[in-house]
Amino acid sequence: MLSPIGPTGGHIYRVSDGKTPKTVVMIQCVGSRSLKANPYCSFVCCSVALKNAQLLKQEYPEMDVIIYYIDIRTTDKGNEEYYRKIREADVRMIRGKVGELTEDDDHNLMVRAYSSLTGELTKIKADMVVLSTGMNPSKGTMEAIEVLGLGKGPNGFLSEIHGCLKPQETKNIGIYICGCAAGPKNIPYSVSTALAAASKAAALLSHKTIIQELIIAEIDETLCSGCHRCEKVCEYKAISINDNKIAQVDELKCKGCGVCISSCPARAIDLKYYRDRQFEAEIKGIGTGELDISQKKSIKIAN
Amino acid sequence: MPEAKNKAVKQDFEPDILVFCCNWCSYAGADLAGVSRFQYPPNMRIVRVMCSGRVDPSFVLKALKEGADGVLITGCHIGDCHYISGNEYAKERFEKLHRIIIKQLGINEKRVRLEWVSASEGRRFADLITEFTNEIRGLGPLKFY
Repeated sequence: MLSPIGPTGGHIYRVSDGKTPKTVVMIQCVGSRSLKANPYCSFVCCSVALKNAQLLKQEYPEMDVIIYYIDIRTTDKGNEEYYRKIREADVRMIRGKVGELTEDDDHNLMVRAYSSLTGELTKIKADMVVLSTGMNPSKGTMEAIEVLGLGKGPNGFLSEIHGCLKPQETKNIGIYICGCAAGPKNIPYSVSTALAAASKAAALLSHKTIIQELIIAEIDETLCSGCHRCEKVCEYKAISINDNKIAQVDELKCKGCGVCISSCPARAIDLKYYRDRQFEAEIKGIGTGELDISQKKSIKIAN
Repeated sequence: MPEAKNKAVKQDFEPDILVFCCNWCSYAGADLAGVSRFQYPPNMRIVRVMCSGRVDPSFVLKALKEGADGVLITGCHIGDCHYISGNEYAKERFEKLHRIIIKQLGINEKRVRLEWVSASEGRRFADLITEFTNEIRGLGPLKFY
């Protein structure tokens, strides 16, 4: 609405009766940071609301602008400036969650909220209310997770393989995530994650070969009974049951975690370089004789 | 049984402890504990596995049979697994299998424990080993008859 090329040409009026509002109330964290709806912060709304409030005050200096907030979070570069300017401008900031919103016959709205700083109930008659609704994963996210076998984070967005060290990579080689696919982001952050994802993809393609760890699961076909248990536990969808009802490992998908091995009731799977008999020999070696800590402790340390 | 060595008659009992560490979190945590020079008892030996989900119940039984007085399985915190959910399987397996088998065998269930140690928790690893060693020391040697 504030955009000069928007549907109202940059002018603010109520769609219902065409009246220019005198009082605008903005409500932050609608459906965000709540145990009932989205538990996470939507990241962009505070800065956007502050920016809009500033634009409204520039355009209509007489207008009353009131912002209800829980906490103002002006993350990212330059956004704190909006907050400082708003504090200097004549914008009322009320810390508190809105409890009730009612409309009367003249399309005026009554906003009731508890101000947690002054400890009193506030009642404001508003001509227009702006809701800063929370950011949700797009409708296709769930489908993408199912089709591509990607990871789903606790908030419903796509999850990266490692939040700090591999923020763009998914568990499938060659699929990268960026922007709001991985969680709420603003535009600069989305652009930088997109660039990171693009460079990751370019790095993978420039090699022409994929380097794969040799630590991968191996199936003993004589023991496999095709019970599908390994197929279910494999997070990478690397195991499938073939037509002969024998499990098959996709050597490019397998990451070598070994979860399938300890879940196999027939012990038909082994992990190359981390085989059962290697572990057993290791345990035996530690447990008996030469490495008996309690008897040869001083010798061990001296060595 | 190798366990029947003269461990029981010793006055000051020093337990043998086997620790399974996952390659990505706990092993790195143990490494950090060493690099940071945190002190912990020298009674434990580490077996590195790629993921805590790789630890087969038979490894634990094998370790107890071969002379370990306590077995500690460590992995990444839930949600941090390098292999997405291997530690959840480890937890499930631990609760359903280890506890039941170990109880049925008449072994004190405190001798086998599952803990989460991240790569940044060197201090926690040292504290955990100290605490676990003291606990096993209090329980005495594991005897097979």
